[in-house]
Amino acid sequence: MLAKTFAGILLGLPLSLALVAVAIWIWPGSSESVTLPFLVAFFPVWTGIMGGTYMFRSGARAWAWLAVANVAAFGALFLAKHTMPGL
Amino acid sequence: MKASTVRTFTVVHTWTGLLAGFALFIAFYAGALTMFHDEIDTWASPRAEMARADTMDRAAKMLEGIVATHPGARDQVGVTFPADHPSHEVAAYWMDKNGDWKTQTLDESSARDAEDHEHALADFVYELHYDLGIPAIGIYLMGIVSVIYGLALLTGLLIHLPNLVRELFALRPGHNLKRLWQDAHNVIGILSLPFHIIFAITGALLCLTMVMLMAFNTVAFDGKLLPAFERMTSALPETTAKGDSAVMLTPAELGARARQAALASGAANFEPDYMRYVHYGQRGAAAEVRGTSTKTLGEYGMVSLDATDGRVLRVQVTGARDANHATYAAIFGLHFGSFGNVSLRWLYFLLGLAGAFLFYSGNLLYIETRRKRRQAEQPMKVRAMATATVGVCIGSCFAISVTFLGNLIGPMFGATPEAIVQPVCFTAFAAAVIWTFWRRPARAAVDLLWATALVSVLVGVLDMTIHGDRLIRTLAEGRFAVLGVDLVAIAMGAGFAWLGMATRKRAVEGDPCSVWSSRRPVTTAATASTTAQEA
Repeated sequence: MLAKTFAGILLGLPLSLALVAVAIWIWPGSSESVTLPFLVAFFPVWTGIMGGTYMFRSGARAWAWLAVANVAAFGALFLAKHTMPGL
Repeated sequence: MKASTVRTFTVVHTWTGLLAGFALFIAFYAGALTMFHDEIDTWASPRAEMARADTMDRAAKMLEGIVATHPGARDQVGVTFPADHPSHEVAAYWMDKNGDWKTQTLDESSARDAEDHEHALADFVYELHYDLGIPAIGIYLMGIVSVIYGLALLTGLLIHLPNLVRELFALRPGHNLKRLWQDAHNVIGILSLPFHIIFAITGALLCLTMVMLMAFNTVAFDGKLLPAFERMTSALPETTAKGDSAVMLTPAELGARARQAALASGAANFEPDYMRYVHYGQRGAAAEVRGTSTKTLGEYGMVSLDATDGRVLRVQVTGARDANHATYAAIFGLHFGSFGNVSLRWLYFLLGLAGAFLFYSGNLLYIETRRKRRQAEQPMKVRAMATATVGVCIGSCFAISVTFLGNLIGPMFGATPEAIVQPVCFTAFAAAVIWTFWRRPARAAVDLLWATALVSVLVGVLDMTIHGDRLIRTLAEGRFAVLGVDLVAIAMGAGFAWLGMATRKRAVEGDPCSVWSSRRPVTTAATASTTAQEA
């Protein structure tokens, strides 16, 4: 349970950051015009991930899946940074 | 949902509640009072006079003096408007060469540090709300508490989701006290859920926005977010100083023009409450006037103007603003309950007290769940939880009432309220905690509730006695702030007295096999088990 908790806190934080950032980057039209509303979603998304992490069958699975999700989200962020106009 | 999942979420709910509950109790109690910040501020400083008609002209002269003595203030200098709050100070704010914020009020002849923690009563209670009175790190601590609070809300909702509607209408008084507390906790939690979601999100944002922005700025936006954030939250366009000196329009003039522009853009009204100049005294100077409008979710709006000719540059007020400005204003509006009139503030006040009850009842449920029903002596964790709950929760109510009393009688002994509110509050709080350790929670709860009741009633009655002339004068002027604070203090005193009586009844007549019983341990095991069955 403690393993899941820390997975949710430590891996959930960068994951929610990357998810929200990607949403801002790929927003059609001006990203800057919707930045603040999307940033508001950061804490709820993180909280949701922390809560959802307890649904994993074990701590190891939680760490593994959240790590994979982080790689995917930061990969998407990397792509977005190099292909989208940004702020 | 599987039973094991519900169990997991129950454990998370318990632990998040334990971690954040105490800080949240204080934040909600102090926050409920802060809904009437301006009334308390008026009440707390009987000598503060009504804003004079020439206040903003004097403010203009003050700004001239400030930029003459502190050239650094030319880059950016702000000044507050008295708005419609008679006790609001008109103060200038600027950043000096070392990056420290300085301030100077109309009545002061020189600048002082804006970050000092010398607060008057209302601001002190407000500070307790957002940082528990802990300088520097307290606000980040409360930000983390807000995140934990969000997780507690989510898990609490998930636990009760299967029975949500059924439990909403269940409040079962009777022999089973635990079930009554559980029902009350659930009903209040579910009914005020939207309000709690608002606070978990906006509370985290208000405390941790800078940290969050810095993380996003570095990781996701390569340093472009911070300058963009400035554009997203202000109405000032990019401006450059052109060197030559120029005469600035006064705050009063700029405020009036900003108001005109806001009304022309469709705002119902616009009361300037703060403005700032950039490049003060130079050609190319601009000003941004922030003001409040009613009939909107986010009351704050901004208008930027050329500070030399008063030309309107940009308008970001209700009905005429973009998604970023609307969101930013809504965060404040939702958190501060400023999107309605006085009845909304009362609603926020009551929901704030209900929130404090929610965290208190959560702790009681922790204790009831782990209670040993057949023995008087309770486990260590139950006793520790009871001591902490009484000491911190009732202790903070007591400390805040004592602080009001200190603010009232301190000046009679030559003390300035700003200098004593914090030490008085912290001393009273420490005394309450020590008292709880010494007397054990069952008796200490009764003592502290009675003491809080007595002090609260005294606050109202003494103020009416000592400052009776002021009370009559404000009533004659049709202002009810002073009377309101007096009456609410007395009413809350009555409320605490009622809680004290109920707690005493519980301590004397209730099940002796509980940490809340003040009776000596019952000798035979047989009597203990009979009483346990009765309960």
